[in-house]
Amino acid sequence: MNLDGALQTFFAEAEELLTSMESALLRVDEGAYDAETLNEIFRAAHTIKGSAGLFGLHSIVGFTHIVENLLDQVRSGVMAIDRDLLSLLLNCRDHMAGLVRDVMNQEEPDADRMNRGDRLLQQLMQRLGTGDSAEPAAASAEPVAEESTQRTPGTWHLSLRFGPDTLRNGMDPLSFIRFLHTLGEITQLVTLDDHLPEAADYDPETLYLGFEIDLLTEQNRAAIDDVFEFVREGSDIRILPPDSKIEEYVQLIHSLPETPRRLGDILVQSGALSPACLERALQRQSTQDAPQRLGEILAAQHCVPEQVIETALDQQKKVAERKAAPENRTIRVDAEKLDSLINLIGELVITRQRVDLLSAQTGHGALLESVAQLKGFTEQIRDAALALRMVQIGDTFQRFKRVVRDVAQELGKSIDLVIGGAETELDRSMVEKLTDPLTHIVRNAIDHGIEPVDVRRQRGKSDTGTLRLTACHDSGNIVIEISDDGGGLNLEKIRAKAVANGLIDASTHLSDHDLFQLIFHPGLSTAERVTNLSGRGVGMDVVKRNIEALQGGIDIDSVLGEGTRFRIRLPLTLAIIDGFHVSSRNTHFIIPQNTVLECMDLASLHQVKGRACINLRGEQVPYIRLSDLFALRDSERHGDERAKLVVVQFGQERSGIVVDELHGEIQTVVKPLSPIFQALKGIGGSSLLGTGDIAFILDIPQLIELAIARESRRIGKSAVTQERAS
Amino acid sequence: MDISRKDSKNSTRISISGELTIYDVSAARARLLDDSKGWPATVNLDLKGVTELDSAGVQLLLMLQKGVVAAGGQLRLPAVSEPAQQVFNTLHLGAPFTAQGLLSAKGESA
Amino acid sequence: MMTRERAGAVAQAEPEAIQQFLTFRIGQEFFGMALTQTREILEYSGVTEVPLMPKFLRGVINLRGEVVPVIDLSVRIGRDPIQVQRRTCIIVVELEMEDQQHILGLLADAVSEVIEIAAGDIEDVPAFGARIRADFIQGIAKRGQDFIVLLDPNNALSVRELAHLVEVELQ
Repeated sequence: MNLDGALQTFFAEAEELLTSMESALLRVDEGAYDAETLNEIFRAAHTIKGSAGLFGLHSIVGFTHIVENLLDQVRSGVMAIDRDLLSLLLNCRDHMAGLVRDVMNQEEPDADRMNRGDRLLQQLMQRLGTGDSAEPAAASAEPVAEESTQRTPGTWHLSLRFGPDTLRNGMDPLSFIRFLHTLGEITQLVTLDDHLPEAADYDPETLYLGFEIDLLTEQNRAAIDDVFEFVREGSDIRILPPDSKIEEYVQLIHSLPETPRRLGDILVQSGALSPACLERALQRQSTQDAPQRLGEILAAQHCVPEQVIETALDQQKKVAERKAAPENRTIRVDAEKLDSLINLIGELVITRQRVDLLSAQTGHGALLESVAQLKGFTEQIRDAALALRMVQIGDTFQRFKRVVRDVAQELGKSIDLVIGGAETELDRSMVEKLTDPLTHIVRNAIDHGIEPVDVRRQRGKSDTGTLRLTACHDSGNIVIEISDDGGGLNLEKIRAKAVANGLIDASTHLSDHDLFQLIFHPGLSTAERVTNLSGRGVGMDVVKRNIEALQGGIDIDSVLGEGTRFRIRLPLTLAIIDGFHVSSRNTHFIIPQNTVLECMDLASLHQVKGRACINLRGEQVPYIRLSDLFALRDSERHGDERAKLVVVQFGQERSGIVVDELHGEIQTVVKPLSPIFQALKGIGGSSLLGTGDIAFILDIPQLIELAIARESRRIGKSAVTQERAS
Repeated sequence: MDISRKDSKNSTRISISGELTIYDVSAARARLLDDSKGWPATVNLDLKGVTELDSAGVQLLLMLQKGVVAAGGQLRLPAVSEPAQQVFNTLHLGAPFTAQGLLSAKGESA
Repeated sequence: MMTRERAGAVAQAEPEAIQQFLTFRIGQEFFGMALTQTREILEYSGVTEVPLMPKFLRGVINLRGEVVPVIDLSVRIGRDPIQVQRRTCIIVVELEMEDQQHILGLLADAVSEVIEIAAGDIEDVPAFGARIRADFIQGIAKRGQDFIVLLDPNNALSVRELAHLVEVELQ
């Protein structure tokens, strides 16, 4: 029995609902004050409450119930929505998410959570006008009568045939019926046992019972519908409205399963037309010489209101259209399964390389041809598998609406977030690691980038600042830009601060680009005012490190008074990289292909006297010997006459790496090294070669940093900064 | 879950105590249904010891009733615990203390 | 290669208080490691050295596609590095630390056998005299003439501590 299954579904659905609740709240914040959006918010809360109730999650039910009450007042127009209320609702949403998380982690809410919950409840109560806050105890599962609603109660008929696996999935019709009691009064209930099988066929864990229920309630269809949200699949749940309200039939017709069917069936099923009435109409149609359409006959007979017929016809048409269009179906896949598939494909790539190697030794023509074909397919499979793990960046961007709103409100600024390229895809694992650095940059841009309103007015800018988040693909990389129309970076201030902090000499000349890069240096922040959001001089260096850990890079462009743009460049995936295979003293290394500029014989190059530097077409490029840097030993003697130089570029930085041998391009699977090696700089991971040997993947930015650090230990700091600047 | 059965000349008394839920029904089924042959005219089902009952349990009781009725007998409920009674009430199942048995409705919607 | 299946077959019926240990030799000393934490034993066929590592970290091996670090236990407990010989082997252990699964290789001079030790026969760690850090030891068992040091892998092979030692070495 898998009792967890249904609960897992609840977690997944709750997360989706909470996400849509948040984005709907943010849309309201942006001015979308339409009934549909308000309804979406209400329904999210309502559904979570209902489902949580089915699982007996009282902490969630109790809190969400109060939130729902408030939302109901907002929805019905009794309460006006303002910014404070929105903030409160957003906080409530966060708290609900926290409560769900606690259940998911099988933890009791901690004191912090409880306190926050109590505080929020007090605020909710005040808003609801039941402000004697001695009553946060109303957070019980017992629903409070909804005093605000003016709806008239009616008797709904519910015909419930739960799926046979309902019990096995950990749900019990009893819970649903008990929950219906909270919506209204069950005036009639019949338990149907006519599907109970013969004793021999009886499986005690299969559900055979059906239920016919009359429910007297003020709730609308959606509220009743939501009760069955989690059993709908595999179950036959029919809900018939109280009386012949046109609107409700229309609603019912819309909710009918979308299979092609005849008009009469649609109307009968919706309850708008009695079977007898249909019979009469059909009879009449069959006796006509020039048969009228059924809809016309029904309308003429006043059997069914015209509007209902129209809706039914619409529905018929819609179904027909949908049938014609190909279905765009998706399935949910466990992320772990996907990861293990990608790992296996990684192994396949390695094995293929080994086959490649072995077959080349045979010189067998047909074999070589097949192997070449195999290579083509392997690459296709790899690409297809990686594509499965790609997600659109839009969801991540959406989250920043919230960040922008909260930070802007806190700072009393007004800011528009413009999102572009939301459909750009990147690896799921990257998305997770990207959130922190992006958040920091966005907060920074709002805090320090976009000026206070008075300054903006002075500068002739609009009161509302604009922050842009865009993404696009560019030659195998993804490029993310965060730009603002704020004050821009003040080069003189950066310089002054850097000098004051001893990062550079007062006399050092640095290009604008290099000055901008200084803000990624630990301990440099140009904010004059320290706020609780940023400005403590920690962060931008961490941002840079995070991005580099993802094999990416970050650049800044800024014009004083006009704005700043951060540009982050990242590889599309981390699992498999294209690399350049080299070796030094018989130790194998892989240099990420996208950093490699060119390779040449060291002996052919003009060396700058007394320094580990070569003159490359007039430009001085420092180099590193891997054998020195990593203290590699080997019994063989290796002279400089055969050594090779690989020129790599990272950001604006160019460096040479001296190795013993070049082995060529290779597609390789990244195998992370044990955390034991965490402190080892310059090596970002490992990889297996076709021969089964282990190669180390070089982390170029770290390597350059490491080389600079060693160099500066040798010849002193200021000289290096000068050299790098020249 | 614990089931005991006491046969006398004209009736059988079955007592169920403890939980009768989805977790117990497979075991309970063997005890309740598999030796249902030759039920006497009256089977008295004692539920006063039932601490928890769910839909799976209700189904099992209905299966028992069905078996007894098919054998030409009837099922009576001389004693029902509070938790079980609440479930019967929720599902509008018969009038358990009468000779009627658990359920008389036959699939007609109200 | 001796697999755990074969090793496990040595003992079948096991009353609860009896634990199985894989015993191995380093220098002239015998050590034991709970069988449940060992995954397999590999013949030594070389390691790939990782640059700049301290002596106890012999390198990494390719274990069917996983890159696994190999620890010289002898150095770790303060003895001389193990000299590779014919019977040198790598014991693959699986540890769970800080919610993460870690796989490590342990270099040993020779693997001897799987023994069963009743909980009552495990003696406490002597306060001194074991010439080995007390927290590396789970207990001491006697086997004929020999003492077997039962290792506590969570301390002796603490990934956090090993990482710290690497960091110190690199500074």
